[in-house]
Amino acid sequence: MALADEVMAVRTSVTVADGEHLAAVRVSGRDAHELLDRVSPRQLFVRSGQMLHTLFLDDAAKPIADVYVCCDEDDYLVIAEGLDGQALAAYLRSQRDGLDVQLDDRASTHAFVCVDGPYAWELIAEVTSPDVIGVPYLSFFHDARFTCFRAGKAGEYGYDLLVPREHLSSVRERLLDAGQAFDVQVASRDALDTCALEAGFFNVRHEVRDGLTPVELQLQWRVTAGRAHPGHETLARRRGAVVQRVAMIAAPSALPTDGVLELGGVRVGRILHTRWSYVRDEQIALALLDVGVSYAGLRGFHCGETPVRTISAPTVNNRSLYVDPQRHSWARRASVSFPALTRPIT
Amino acid sequence: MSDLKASIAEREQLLGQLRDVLIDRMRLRREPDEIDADAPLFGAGFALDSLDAVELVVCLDTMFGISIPDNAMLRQYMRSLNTLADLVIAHRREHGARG
Amino acid sequence: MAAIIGHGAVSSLGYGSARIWSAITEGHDGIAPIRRFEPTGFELGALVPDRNAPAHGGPTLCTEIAIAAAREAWERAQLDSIPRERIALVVGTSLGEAGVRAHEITVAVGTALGVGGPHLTVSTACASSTNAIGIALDLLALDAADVVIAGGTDVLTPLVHAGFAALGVLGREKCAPFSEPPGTTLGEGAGFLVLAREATAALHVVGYGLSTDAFHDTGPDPTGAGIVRGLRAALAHAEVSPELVDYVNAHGTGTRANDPAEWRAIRQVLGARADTVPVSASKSFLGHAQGAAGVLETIATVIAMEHGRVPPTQRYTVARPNTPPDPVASPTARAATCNIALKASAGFGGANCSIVIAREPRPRVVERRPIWLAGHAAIRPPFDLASIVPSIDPRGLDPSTRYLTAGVALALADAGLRLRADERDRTGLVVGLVSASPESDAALDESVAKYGYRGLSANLFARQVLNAAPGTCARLLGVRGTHSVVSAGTASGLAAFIYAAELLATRRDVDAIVAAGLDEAVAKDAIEGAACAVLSTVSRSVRVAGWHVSGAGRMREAARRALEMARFDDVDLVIDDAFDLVGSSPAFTPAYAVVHAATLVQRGAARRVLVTRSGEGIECALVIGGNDE
Repeated sequence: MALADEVMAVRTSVTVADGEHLAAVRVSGRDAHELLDRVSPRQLFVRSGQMLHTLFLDDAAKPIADVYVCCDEDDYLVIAEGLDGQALAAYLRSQRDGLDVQLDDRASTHAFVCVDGPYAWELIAEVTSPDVIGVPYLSFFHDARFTCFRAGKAGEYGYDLLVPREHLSSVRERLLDAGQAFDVQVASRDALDTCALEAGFFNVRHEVRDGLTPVELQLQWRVTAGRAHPGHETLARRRGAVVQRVAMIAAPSALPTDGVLELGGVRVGRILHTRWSYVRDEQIALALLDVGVSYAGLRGFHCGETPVRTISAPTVNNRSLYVDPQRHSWARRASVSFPALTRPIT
Repeated sequence: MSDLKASIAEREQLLGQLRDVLIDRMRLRREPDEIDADAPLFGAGFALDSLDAVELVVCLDTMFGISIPDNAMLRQYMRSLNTLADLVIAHRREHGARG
Repeated sequence: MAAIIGHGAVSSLGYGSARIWSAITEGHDGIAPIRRFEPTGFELGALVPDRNAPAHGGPTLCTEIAIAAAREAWERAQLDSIPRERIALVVGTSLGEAGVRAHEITVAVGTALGVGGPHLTVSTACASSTNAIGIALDLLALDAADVVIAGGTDVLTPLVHAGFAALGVLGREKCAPFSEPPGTTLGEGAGFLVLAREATAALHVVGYGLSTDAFHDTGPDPTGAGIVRGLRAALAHAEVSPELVDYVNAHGTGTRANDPAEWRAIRQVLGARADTVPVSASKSFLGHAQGAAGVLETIATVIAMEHGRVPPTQRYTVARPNTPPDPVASPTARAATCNIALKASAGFGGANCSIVIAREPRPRVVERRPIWLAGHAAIRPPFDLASIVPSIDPRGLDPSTRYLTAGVALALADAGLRLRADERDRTGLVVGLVSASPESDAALDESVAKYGYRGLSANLFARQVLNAAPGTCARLLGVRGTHSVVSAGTASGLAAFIYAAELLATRRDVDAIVAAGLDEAVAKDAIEGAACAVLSTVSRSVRVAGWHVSGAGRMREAARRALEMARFDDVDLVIDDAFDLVGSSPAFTPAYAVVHAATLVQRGAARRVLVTRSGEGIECALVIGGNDE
């Protein structure tokens, strides 16, 4: 399956992908909340059945994991990208002095399957129940065969299923089987990473460099000021003293990762993460720029000979915004005229 | 270069106004410098809801004179402060005066 | 169960129930461009037509039309020989009248009609008058009255119109429920039924059910799960199987969010049969009369059924996806066999109420099961909500919501109840109060002053309904069962406890109900906070042994009847209006009196306690005792 086809499937129908990049650790015991309160940079306002999107930072306030803290009655499930199960459990263990908690790395017993796309809700409804349409974004529920987390980083409807390994192949089979009615495609992590970049979702595996904190990375929404957590002192200092900030850029042809960006012959930044956008038919990237020029809507930058301009995130007009499970369906998609996948302006 | 300065100044000013809208009208409890221009407004990010969306549409009208009856048209620009700013800037170019 | 022996209506179709009958036989509606004021953005409304009333369109219209509708209903009932103290009055209203507390409207109606029995007000937004009809059944079952006048009233003001416009639910054309284009048309009106325990009548209200979506502060749960709970509760209460339902009068506002969610709920409850049962929306000719919608649509259903018909959904052209296949698409009522009808209502804040109307009386033996007081808490500011419920962000919640959420959370914790999944559907909340949050009220005024009606904050408008804080609290704590909000003036807190006790004792689909008295800044120096108790069917040390309500000035009777239910000859302590351990406030203090009484019994300082309180037009009495009493 060509990358272009996989990306377009994520953008217009539904895809199934492996979730090997995700780790899950169950945190239980009397002090489960207390432990997570110590490590989470974001205030834990999360009720049973809900997910809180945050980060785990090191002492230099550098993001080391992209995290969902999920409240499951008395326990929590921590789902992370950027650390494997062992490293995730080790990170949590490092903070648990004096606390009554049990940490349970699910990696050996469970795996993730990811379903994304404007009709992902319909495929999931098919294999669970029609009530899925009532599951809000960033909440989850337990089905007989798996736990279903409504999240997704492609900017479309997205559901990550945490499946016991003994059911993994039958669940994948069921999805692909039922998915025939939806033109389901299998998508690679590459395709989903491309979609995440287009959608403006932070990618911990590609976008972090030493010295970067949530302030530079435009991730302050994942952090609550004034909390004690690993890296909080660095973070507090950085807020008033930021000199670089990320911005989305676009260019007509390929760009090199870590390529230098210049404005009027002067170096103003570098490229962190770049991919070809099939939807926009141009190259896009997350770039780190000096704060004085880190604004959307500017022209005149260069990377080598390639002209570069800054653009707004998200960079695509996700179809999922226009699909309403109350009245739309894949079967009747031809009767709807959807807007283009890119906005008229930028 | 002065084009660049003008663009930066315009966007900076607009982002400031939009941050104020989030804080005053949507009652977002964040300091202005914590509100990143590309952060998602709905769903993730600041988790504005459908009621906030309706209010934002009203603000676009009263503050910037943008009154687009087609909700779907508007929805695509209500993603981040930057996309909102894109809409306002384009609207100004098209209609000359400030809203 | 109650016989419907009278009805009266003032609606956009005119003064009198007969106007509703004309509309559905001649095929016209009450929707027209609004002339009474300059509407914001959307020009259509369903207003009560001009009439030579002294203050028409003026500030007292809400009360006036209520009196007119109640009078018509009473005249139709032809019951002059009933002693006044055996007539009760229940009024539902969403936003009532400016400058006046909701319960004062009820008192004014009661005075105009000479009602001498208990007066009660219920406020659950657009489900209010449906709930009022339900409460009538409870008052009759409790023998607090022989006849109940029950219904509701609401008016369309520039603020209300602007508020609904801000919420994005109004349409530019006349509403077309289940069809195109989506959007509702706001209106006003008042309606009442006269219900009697023993009478010969063509139709009867045989049961009702309550629930809350606990999903979002203004939008309904798209799966319809909340409405399902309400419909099932009504059918269970009526002891009617879903197969027997042959017509549904839907809430049917015509909005994108409501119609498909409601149809999903109806389909889930009626099963495969649902596709063959007519489901129509009377808002298509009445407009959306807010708190009065439930009773007016019930009257439309009753009048149609009396003539062997079902009311239509007017202006139905093309079907919107996921809507009933038989919406009775027609300008006029259709001939149909209808022996059992369901009337569904849903409101802001997620409150749902449904009633079951039947041709045949279905007398039931009312069995009250024993109930206990499993836990309690009383909370007053200042306190830090985040330390009580760490998972909830307190910023953005008004004081009423914070007090109630803290109180209910603490009471549940005191009862040792950690609600899991299914338990949430079987745990209810009944709140007594006298007004919505004054802080939110002031914030809305500020928003209007600053931005005008066009820029009015939808979020702040949604907090105007009296059930806003209870609805948000239920959502935050996941308490999704039986849900209601009542007012009784100075006895509001105790009235809520008594209503909660009666609901819990007489129904099988609920295991626990949290009763609360909530006050926020009702007056300068007044006490504010929430006093809550968990009433439960699981045996504990404190039993809620008896309760009763009577008309004004009849406290001795209320106390006597409460003792009778408890089977106590006497009590060792009476806590009455003079109780001021915490000062005086209409909802918190009487509720706190019960909490205080429970504490005394738990400590062994008292064995049997009678708690009484006088409200506006009502006397409330509740008896608690030790478990071995």
